[in-house]
Amino acid sequence: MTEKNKELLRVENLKTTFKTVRGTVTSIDGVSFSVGKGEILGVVGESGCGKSVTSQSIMRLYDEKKLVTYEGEIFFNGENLLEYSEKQMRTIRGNKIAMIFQDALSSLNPVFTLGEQISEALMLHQGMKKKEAMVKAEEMLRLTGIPAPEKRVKCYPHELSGGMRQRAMIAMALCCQPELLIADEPTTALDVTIQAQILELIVKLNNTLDMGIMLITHDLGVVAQICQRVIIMYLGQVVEEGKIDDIFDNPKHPYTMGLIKSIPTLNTNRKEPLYMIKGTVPALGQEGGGCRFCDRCNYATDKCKNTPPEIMDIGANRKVRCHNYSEITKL
Amino acid sequence: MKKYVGKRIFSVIVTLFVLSLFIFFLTHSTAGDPASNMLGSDATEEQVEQLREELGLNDPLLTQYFNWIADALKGDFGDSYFRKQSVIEAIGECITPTLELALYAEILAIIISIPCGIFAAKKKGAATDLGVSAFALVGLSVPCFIYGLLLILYFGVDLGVLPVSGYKTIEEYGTSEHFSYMVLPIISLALTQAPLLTRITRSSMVEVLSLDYIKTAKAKGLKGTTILTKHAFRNAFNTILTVLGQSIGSLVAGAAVIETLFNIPGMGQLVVNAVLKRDYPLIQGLVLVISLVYIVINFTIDMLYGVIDPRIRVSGKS
Repeated sequence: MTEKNKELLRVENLKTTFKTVRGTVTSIDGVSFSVGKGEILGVVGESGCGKSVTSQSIMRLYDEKKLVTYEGEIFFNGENLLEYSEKQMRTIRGNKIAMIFQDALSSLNPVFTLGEQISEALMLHQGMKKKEAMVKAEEMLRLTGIPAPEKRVKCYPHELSGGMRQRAMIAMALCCQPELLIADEPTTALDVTIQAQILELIVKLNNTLDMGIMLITHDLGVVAQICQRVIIMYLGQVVEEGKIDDIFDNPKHPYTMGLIKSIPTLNTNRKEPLYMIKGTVPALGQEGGGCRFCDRCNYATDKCKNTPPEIMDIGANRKVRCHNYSEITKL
Repeated sequence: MKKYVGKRIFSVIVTLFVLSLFIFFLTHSTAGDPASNMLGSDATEEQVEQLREELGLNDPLLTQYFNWIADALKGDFGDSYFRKQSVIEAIGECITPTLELALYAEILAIIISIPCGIFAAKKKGAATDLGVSAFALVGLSVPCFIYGLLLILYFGVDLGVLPVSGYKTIEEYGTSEHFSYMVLPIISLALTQAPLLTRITRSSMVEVLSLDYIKTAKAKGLKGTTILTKHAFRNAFNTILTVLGQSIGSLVAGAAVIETLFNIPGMGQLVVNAVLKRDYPLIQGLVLVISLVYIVINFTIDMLYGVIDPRIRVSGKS
């Protein structure tokens, strides 16, 4: 195995259960996947399918005392993060694994300058003095392509544009050179040109800093541009996994097919309505006994209604969770 | 920032002007005549009339107002009708105990309530939170003189360890003597202010703690206490500050009950006596001073908003 393909993160059968006033809700149910060193993995799914919960479970950001229980294993560099104490987790968060969030404005603290917010992690994890950390913070901002970083370190989040804020978020996440970056819909709140710039930046940093990236998005277009591998999630489960070209050229799961089909292209006939997957994502806890997708699936059989499918390894690094994938693909 | 300050100062001046009108006409429209109060029931009609003339009470109200305001602008608020001193002197004597009492009580209330509120917010929904909230609610419903009476009964009468009446200045009697007289009134007042501050601290912290940047702070690897005291509290503080200002104001204006209970020669007592005797110049001076205290507090707090929240600084620039 080359260094590039070495496994960085492996999630095994992760199950995240929330306690709510109306009982428990299992929002992630047996998710398994891995991210290699230097790899960009796309995590795709509709709203509410558990993408963000997966990422925040890896960082263990939820309140474990009263809100959440985790089952399964999360191996990071061979060590199970779920066995770590809170104190050990703090040495991982922001240091070895960093995260950028969807809405940079609400994710940055409004009362501290960018410099203060970036230098915080540096002082915490690398034992830097304030002055040194500020210099490094400026350097990080320069790295993310913010113009005039020496002025921006003294700026507050509200004084910047959306794109600059997201760059600042990235600078903050990368300042300790994490081995894994979890980007939770980093471009969703941005307009298309800025989106492209931010994605380009992420790819560039992936190349130069050689870190693994888990890119969470609902936008298959974004995935197609920058990811090497992708997992498709539906209602708290992985339904398909594979190399990016395989997934796009030859989707196996009816849900993936639907997602790809519903992307509008320049050739789409404007008179025709866009393709939609019928129905909506059922609420958690109301999945029924069979396949979680069967109510919305065009190919559902009786078996689908009664027996939940297991995720199957179908060779060539591909996995799919569907009883009928081989028949469907032939159609 | 300069423009922001300028704007605020201008609004202070306007407020003061409107206030002076209000105070003057309110005082003069109340029933009762200071002249007959001063001379007592034996005085003849003529004597009263002569005194009214001397005091200028027979002039048209507007003339009286302009005379008063013209003198006031020069720093002269007139003489008290009943005390043998000027209004400035009378207030000067009484304002120190009141301000001291308000300040100490507020500090004690802050020391109690802010940690309690933060702690309750952190433990939201748990037994500790419910406990703190319940105590705060009970505390809020008990009037301050009840605390005062209970404290007097316990520390003053049963234990006999603390004096229950009077006031000693720091300069003459030293710090420990000063505080031994102040401690019970301070506690009584603090106990009335702490519950509200606790509730506000808790609710604004709970709100802030649910925001995205708290998650960012956690994802950075920061400790729970750092997140709570630095990232969350700094943002929650503006809401707390608003209530803090009102609280100090109400302590200055509303200490009369506690001052009477503990026999502290403060402004509260002075106000009550002035009103009872229709001592117009003194009432006007006192209300103006109390209003001024409120205005200064509000002004300071408005300035502090800008210091704490950079977004407010910007809105002042435009």
